[in-house]
Order: sequence, then C-alpha cells, then structure tokens
Amino acid sequence: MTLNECIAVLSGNIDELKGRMLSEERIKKFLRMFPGDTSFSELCEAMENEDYEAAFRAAHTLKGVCANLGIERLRIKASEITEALRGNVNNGADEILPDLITEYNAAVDAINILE
Amino acid sequence: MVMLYLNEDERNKILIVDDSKINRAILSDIIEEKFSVLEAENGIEAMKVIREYGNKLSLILLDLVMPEMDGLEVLAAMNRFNLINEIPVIMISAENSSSYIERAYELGATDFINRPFNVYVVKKRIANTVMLYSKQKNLINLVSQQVYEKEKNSDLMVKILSHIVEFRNGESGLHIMHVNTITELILKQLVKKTDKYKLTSKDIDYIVTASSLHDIGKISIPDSILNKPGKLTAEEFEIMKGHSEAGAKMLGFLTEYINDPLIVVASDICLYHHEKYDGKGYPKGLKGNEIPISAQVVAIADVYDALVSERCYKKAIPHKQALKMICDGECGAFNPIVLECLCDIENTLENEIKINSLSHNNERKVRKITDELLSQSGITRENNSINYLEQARTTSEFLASMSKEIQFEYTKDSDVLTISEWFAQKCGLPLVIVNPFKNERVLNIVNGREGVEFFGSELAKTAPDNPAIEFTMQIKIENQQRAHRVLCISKWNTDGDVPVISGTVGKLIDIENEYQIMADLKKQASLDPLTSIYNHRYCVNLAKSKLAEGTDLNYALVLFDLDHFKAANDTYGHMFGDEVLKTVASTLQKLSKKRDIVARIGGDEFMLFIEYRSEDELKNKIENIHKVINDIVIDSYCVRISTGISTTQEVGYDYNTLFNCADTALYHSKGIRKSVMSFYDKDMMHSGIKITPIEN
Repeated sequence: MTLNECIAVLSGNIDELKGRMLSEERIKKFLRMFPGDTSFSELCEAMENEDYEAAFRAAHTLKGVCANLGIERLRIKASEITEALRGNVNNGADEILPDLITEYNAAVDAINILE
Repeated sequence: MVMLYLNEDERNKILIVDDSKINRAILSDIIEEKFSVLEAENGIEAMKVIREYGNKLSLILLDLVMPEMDGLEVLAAMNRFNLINEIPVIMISAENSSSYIERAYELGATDFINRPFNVYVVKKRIANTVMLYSKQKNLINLVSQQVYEKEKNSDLMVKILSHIVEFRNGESGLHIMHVNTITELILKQLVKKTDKYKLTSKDIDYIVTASSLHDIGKISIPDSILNKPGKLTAEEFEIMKGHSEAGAKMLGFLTEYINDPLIVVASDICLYHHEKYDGKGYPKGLKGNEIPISAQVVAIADVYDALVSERCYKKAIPHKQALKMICDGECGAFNPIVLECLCDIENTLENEIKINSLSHNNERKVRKITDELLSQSGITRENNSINYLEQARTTSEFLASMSKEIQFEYTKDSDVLTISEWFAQKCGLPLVIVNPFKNERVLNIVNGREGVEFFGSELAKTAPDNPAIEFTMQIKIENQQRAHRVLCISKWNTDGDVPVISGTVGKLIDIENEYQIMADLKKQASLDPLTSIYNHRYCVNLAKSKLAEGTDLNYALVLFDLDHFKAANDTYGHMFGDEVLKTVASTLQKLSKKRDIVARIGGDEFMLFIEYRSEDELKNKIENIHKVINDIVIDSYCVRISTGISTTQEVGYDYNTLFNCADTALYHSKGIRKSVMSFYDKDMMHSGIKITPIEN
C-alpha cells in the first residue's frame, strides 16, 4: 500500500500531512512506529481496571499521536473518549471503546502493509 | 542567530518531555539536526534532568498531560526552584482547553505549540525562542555578575569592619595603618629570605589587607576594660584575651564571605595573633609553625607598633629600644626568621611609619572639633570617652578623605551625629551635628522624617549579639536622589536589665549606578533586544489585560511574517538581516498609535494588537501598514511581508483563540502566494490549508 492509499484508508488529509511533516519519509518512519505505541493498550487496560485517570491520560496521548500522524478516524474516536473521560469519570466512555478498538485495528492493519 | 551555528559539542541542549515515545521521536527528529536532545517521559524524570542541567538547557518542550507529574506541575516546580525565568518552556499538547493554556502561561510558559505538529512551525518557534533567550541570558549574566562582584567586594567589607574597629577601640586608626605597613615590609623581606612558607604576592596582599582586622574582636570587650587607663586586673585581662576568639567568630558570621580567601586569612590572624612561638600565647597555645605565618607576622607588627606608640596607659618607646625589647624576648617568643626580617628592615621601618602619620593640620582640626563638641555637650575633657572619640575622628576623617565614602556615627545620649568630611562638604553641613533630626538639611538628605523612621526601623532589627545590618535607601545629595547601600552596626547600652540601642556607626555606599543597571535590565526583559519593541511574553500579558477589561471595545490581533527572510540573511549576512528587522520594527512603531501594542514575537514575526472602531477603519489601517512595509527597500533588497488578522468581532475575546486564528490567517496568506494579507474566517480551519514550506 502506498502512503497516499494508507492515509486515505485512515481518512487523513495527505496534503495537510505532507505540508506539516515536510517529507514522506518522515511520515512513513513514524507511522511504522505507531503499532508499537503503548497508549492504546494502556487505555484498554485502564478501562478494564476502571482507572479513569490513567484512561484519560492514555486516551489523550493516543489522540495526540493520531493527530500528528494523520490517523484521522482513530483520532476522532480517541478525542471523543478523551472528552468522555475528562475529569477522571466514565461519562459514556464504555460505549465509545468498541468503536475505538475497531478503528485501532483497522489503522494498524493498514500501516502494517505500508510499502 | 549565532547561537544556532555552534560547534557540534557546544550545541544548545533541548529537553523533550512527553509520555509518548512517538511524539518524542517526532520532535527529536525535527530538531536534532541543530540541537542536542535530551528526553524525559514524565514530569519526575524531567525535573531530574532540569535540576541536573539547570540553565545549561536552552529550552524545554513540555507536554501537558502526563502520568506521575504533569506539565503544569513541572512548571510549578520550576517556579519553586527559580528556574522558570532562566529556561524557556514551550508547551506542546493536543490539549485545547483554554484554562490549561491560561494556567501554563501564568506559570511562566513562553509559548504554546498545538498538535498536530507542523514541522516548519516547530522548527521556527524553537529557533526563535532559543535565540531570543540566549541573547537575553548573556546580557543578564553579564550584568548580574558585575553587580554581584561589586556587592561581594570583600575589600569593601574589610574597610567597613576595620573602620568599625577603629571607631570602637581606644586605639588610633594609625595603629591599624602601621600594622598594615609593617606586615607588608616583613612579608616582603621574608619571601626574599626563604621559600619555606610558599607565599605568593596574592597571599601577601591578602595578609596585609586582612591585618587591619586583627583586633576586630575587641568590639565585644566592654568599654570599661578596653579603654581602661591603668593596668588591667587578672580578671579583666582574661576578658580582654577573649577578643582573639571573638574576632574569628565575628568573621564566621559573614556567611556570604565564609570561603573568601581574604576572610579565611583574616580569621587566622584574629584567632592566632596572640599565640607565641614557644607555645605560651593564647587562646590555643600553638607552638612554632603550628601558628599560621600570617598571624606570626601580624603579631610582631602589632607588638612593635604598640611599643613605639603612645597609649593612654603608657608613653612611646623609642624605635631602637623597642626592637631590642622584642629581640630579647621581653614581649614573648617569636619565630627567629621573622625576627630577623624585622631587624633587616629596621631603617625602612622607622621612616615608613613616619610618612604614614597624619599631618599636623589634621591634628589641629581634630582638636578644634573636639573642643567644639565639648562646649556644646558640656562633657569634660577628662572623660575617657572623649579621648576615644577624638581618636576615632582622626581615623575616620583620614579614611573618609581617602575613600570619599560617607561615614557616620550617631550617639543617642548626646544626640550627636558625626559625618565624614567629604560628605559634610558636599552637603554644606558641619562635621558634628547636634540634634540632627531637628536639622532641616539633615532631614532633607534622608527625605524627611520618613527616612529617619525607616532607618530606625531597620536598626531595630539588630540585636546586641548580631548588630550588623545592611539595607538600601534613597539619599539626596546636591539635590540628586541616589540609591545608597547602608552598612552599619548598632551600638548597645547593656548597663540596664534590657539592652537598648545607644547609637549606630557605619557607612553609605552609592549604588545608584548598579540600581540603574538593574532597572534597565528589567526594562530589557520586556523588550526585544534587537528591535527595542516589546517581546512576545510581555505583549501577551498586555494584550490579555486589555481583553480582560471587557467586551465594549473591538480589538484585532495582526501577525506579520517576513517572506524569504532567511534568504536575505544568507545572502546579505546577519548584520543586514538585523537591519531589516530593525527597520520593520520601527516602521510598525511609527504607523501605530501609542496605545497599540507592537511586538517582535519571534525571529521574523511581528505582532500588532490594536483597538478599532469599524471593520473598514481596521482594514484601511492594516492595508496601509502592509503596503508601507512591502514598499521598504534597503540597499536594493525589497522587504516582503505576509499578514494575518483576527478580530474579537469574529472570534471573541480569548487571547489564545485570537492568536491561533491570526496564525491560521497568516499561514493562509503564505500558502496563497505570500506578501498578501488575510482576515481569518471560519472556513480556513476546515479547509486543510496546505502550508508551503518556505524557509526550512
């Protein structure tokens, strides 16, 4: 999968991304690091443990990473769950989590077949 | 910009604090070409690095939301350790809740970069911040070093301390001068004879200067013993002997100077100048070269001068006889080689000491002053304290005429203020002023009763065992207000049950120049050093306070960015680049009103914050500024700027929103074709503006 195709799958804006990151190589380099990022697993674990403070932090971090890399659909879910967890409470985060997991898996799948 | 082109190993250090490894990696990737990068994954780790490197860090990029210790807590800790003003902090976060941002600014963050990162913006903000801070930091270091050196000048400390000794002790200041001279002569002879003591010329300087303080401990000895005309009783002598240890202890109180070589030498001299070579001296009974050589030399100088001078309890002994008495061991045992030195310099000694005596003219003047004082205060001449005052005056007058320092002594009982000659002449006052606080001219100098009361309240902070105090006050001399540092000690009357302050003695040091430097520095801190318009941080605060005043007025935030500026720098050199920036800054300043805020917010970015009535008026005004600047030609280089504008009417009164929107409009301008101006409108946010990298 080319970078353009990959970003299209992630619903990112490739022009905006290139404008920000200045080189395709840089974008690819960091996209490839994404599956190793721990914020997603930290979020799931914190949700499991009902530790909403840790969950908020992990969601917040995930949101930032996605924003940087143009992983737009996952970013939207991460942003929603961040707001649902703000104030360290569970304000509907449970309902968002399954969608977020779906988006995360889709994103990782796309990135894994990046050329 | 010089700072960005340093050698590899001298590159500025930047600390990246972010809990996400990817985010750290992206930032590091963006900046590692020009900076040396340190990383921390939470606030606690960050503080470890910050404490270790201190202001060796050029910049911190700080994430807000992190485990363990978050970004705001790091800022708070940096405030506690006084590091926030030394290291610029750029907050980086996807957090757009304005209360966080507000709080970060309040805690001293320099700038804010939002995620997602724009490589170009990150690079540029970082380079600008590092550059601005480096210049400022260098300037501050330079000046504070100077001020510190001046304040800490230990020579000055020695002068005031020895001055206090002379005022207080029954011995003439001449004795101190003589001990200085003799000590120097002996030491110079000693290094000719032997290198056993490894004395450098610096060591000799220290010993000579510190010798002035050998008797400083006598301050702690009661008047009745110190100035007793007859022989001391055994018990009194025991008390008198306490002055050695008291002197060393007093110097130990000068915590700021405790490791100062001069004070270390002075402590040795105070403590050991009554030790004898055969171990029969006091307080420790040290033997031979257990006694520091500094104290050995000062001891012999002290004894010699005591013999040849007249004292209230004895007549002067002729030079030859004094020398013989010392050599015969009548004054205790001395180091044979030091004795040899004393004999070697015999002839020089006699002459040097004569030269260093006061002129007859001065003595007559002292007599006159004393008589005047006597007639005014009705104290008899036989009174021992008058004797002491006379001697003290001689000394102080001599020292004051040499140093042009302002010295003073006030005695509460007689309500008499004595001041040094130079000061008296300057102010048209007599040397001795009776009832000084009813004297108009005295009151004028200290700025009225308030000045007197301030002085009194400072003095009230002292105690008999801790009489020294230092503070700053305004003094008016020749109708000029100048800041002065007051160094003085309180004198205590301990006769009653409760000790009461009986007067004070001390001096004033003019520090107006240092004061001005500090004031300038404060101003500098709000100004951009190159263009002399406001810097980013200061203008943010000004703009915010205006926005907080209410929503009755319309404001616009305008950002200007020079196009192709780096090319100009590279082609014509940095001096030329600086010239361009200065011209743009002064043009902006000229075209704006006094209540508009004009600031340089980064390398080639400027900001204008203005109040406006109608959109048309605003548009005309900015168009005019935009056009004038785009018409500037410097040595055939055409200045070009892009402009972005946001208004409170469009986006509301939150500063950060205004700034971000103007920023968006600016990059929109740059993205279109440069050198244009754009007003912010909501569509920009969602249009996924393509930002063309121009100067990366």
